[in-house]
Amino acid sequence: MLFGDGPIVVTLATTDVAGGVWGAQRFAEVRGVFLDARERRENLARWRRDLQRFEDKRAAEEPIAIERLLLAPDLLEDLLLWSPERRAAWREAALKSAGREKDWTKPKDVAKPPARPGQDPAADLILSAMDSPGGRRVLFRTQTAADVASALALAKDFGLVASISGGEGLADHAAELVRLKLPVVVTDTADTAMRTEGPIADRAPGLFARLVAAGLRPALGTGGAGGSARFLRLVAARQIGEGLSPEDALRSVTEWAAESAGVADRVGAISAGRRADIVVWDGDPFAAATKPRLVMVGGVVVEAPR
Amino acid sequence: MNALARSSWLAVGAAVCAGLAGSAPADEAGGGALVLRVGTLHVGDGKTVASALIVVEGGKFALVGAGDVPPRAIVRDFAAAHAAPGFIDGFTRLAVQGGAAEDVEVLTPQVRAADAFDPRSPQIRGLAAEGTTLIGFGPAASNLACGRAGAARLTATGATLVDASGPPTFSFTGAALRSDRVPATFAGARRLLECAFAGERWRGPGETDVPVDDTALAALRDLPAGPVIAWADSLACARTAVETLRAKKLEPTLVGIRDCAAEPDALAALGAPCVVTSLRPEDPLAVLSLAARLHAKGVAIAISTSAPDRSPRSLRLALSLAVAAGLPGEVALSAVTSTPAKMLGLGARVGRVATGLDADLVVTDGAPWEARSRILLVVSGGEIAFDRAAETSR
Repeated sequence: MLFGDGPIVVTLATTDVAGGVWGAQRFAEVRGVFLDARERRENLARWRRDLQRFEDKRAAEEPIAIERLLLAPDLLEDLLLWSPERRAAWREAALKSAGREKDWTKPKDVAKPPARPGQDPAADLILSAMDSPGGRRVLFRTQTAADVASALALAKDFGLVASISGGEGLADHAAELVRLKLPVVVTDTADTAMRTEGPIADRAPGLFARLVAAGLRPALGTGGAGGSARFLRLVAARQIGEGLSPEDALRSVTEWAAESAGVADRVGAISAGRRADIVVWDGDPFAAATKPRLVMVGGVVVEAPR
Repeated sequence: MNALARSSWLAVGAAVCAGLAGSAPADEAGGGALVLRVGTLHVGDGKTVASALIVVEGGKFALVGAGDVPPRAIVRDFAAAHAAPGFIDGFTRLAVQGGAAEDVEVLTPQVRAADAFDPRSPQIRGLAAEGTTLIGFGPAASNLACGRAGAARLTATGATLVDASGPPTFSFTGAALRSDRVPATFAGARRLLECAFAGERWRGPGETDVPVDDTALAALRDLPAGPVIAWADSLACARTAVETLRAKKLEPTLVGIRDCAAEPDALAALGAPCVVTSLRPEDPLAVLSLAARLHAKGVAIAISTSAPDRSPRSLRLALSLAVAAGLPGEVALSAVTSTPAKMLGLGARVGRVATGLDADLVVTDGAPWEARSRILLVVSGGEIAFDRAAETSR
């Protein structure tokens, strides 16, 4: 179920990038796209100004055109009957009345409208996000601390409303993320990561619990690109095993998830006025063998397994 | 436990808590045995014991179940907690530098992954604190006969080899059967292995010998009957592996079979034990429930991360995913304890909490297969590898 325009997603995480473009290069690349977008915005603005000028100029010439149009039906009939002398006299009078000395019978040299700047899909996409009513919303997908630093730099430079998804890299910038009140989605917990290149000890056990302790209200994701989120509850359960309280584990996949998606006014908690999304479990939702008894979305029972 | 034992336990309880060292051998720290009292003991073979006493001495389980507390023992009370054998992540390439074998030759059975094993590899640092006390590691699956797997015990500080010459490994996957060398097909692989098992060379296309080292040939010819590991990523692959290896009286364990999720019945019909690897929360239900469906057909199941393809820390999540998809909890626990121990040929040494076996143990505050359970204590080879009480007081 979609809630409308989401943020533009920009991937900074190296493992997610086809071809394995690494840190600094990736940052330069993304920054390049943003710079292109900014330049494109300026070009488009210039084009709009030029277009306006062109329209204004044409509008200034309009009286003649309007006059010509107004007179035309009568003239078509009458001119055929008029003598050449009479026709010339009328023309003189008409031109005088329009305050113009131009010969309206000849086609005018109409200036061409200014050319619209060419297409640039990547920059256009970024621009559409930057100009969306939601306002410059960009979700940065990160992996390392350097990726998060890149995301923060891009957000600052381009005045973006950023949210950041990632894993261990978030921990190093927790204080900054709290200060900027940036929505955070943890998709890359130590055990959902695809690979472990670095030391396991450095993969920050209890990352999620530490982010919460630092004051963030992070959402928890499965990190699966196009996969199933069926067992998101077990990813949350794993955070309990690593030190998160069960209450915060629940918030991480309900209330906080809604907050980071910008839809907390509608979903994410059972409270008056919010959409009636409820799951009834046959046990602790964080225990592996627990099953849903009833799933209600927007007040409609969508699933009621026996 | 009798009254006398109980009183001695109470007497030492307070005294020993202060002396607990993070990684010191239990019998040195307290001068005696390490004694654990746990609410529920999961033996690792499907059985459970309520209110069990576990005595660890000299790196082994000296006593399991009920009995007297030995004098001068360190006693730890986990009355509300669960104890289980240390987890075994049996089918990884962790800490094996460079994959162990070149993939120029197709048959490299003489290669031992243990010779490329780095006990100080960052890939396994800190893993014992996750409850994984033993890893099986093998050469890369890029040759038809890859070489021998190995096994290592993980401790707080590093790793020690438990088995340097583990089961022979074979690979029938696309990584081994490539178009740029012979054999590139199942039929070719079967023929080459049949020849090698008989001590003969096989002439491939173009009437040239497939290059096989004399040592390799002899090693394959002289392979004794017993358990082997076979990587297979499709049903055809698995069938070729099982038929070819069984003809040599080898007993293959099939690894990497998650791609056979659509045909669990056909896979089960092969009658080979299976290792389900790399379970992820975003996997389709067919993959997550593969272990449960194979178990229902009577197939012995192990669960492994196949790290470093997948984080080695994903083992506990994989366990809970398998349970959520229908595998009974105790079976899931066996899938990371006694079953992989047997597959690695170490069933008499590790994988169960039983008298005489190596003291590898995990204490959790809930069932060991639950992702939400917290690890309270890890004992690896009789040493305390992780102690939450020591961590939190630090």
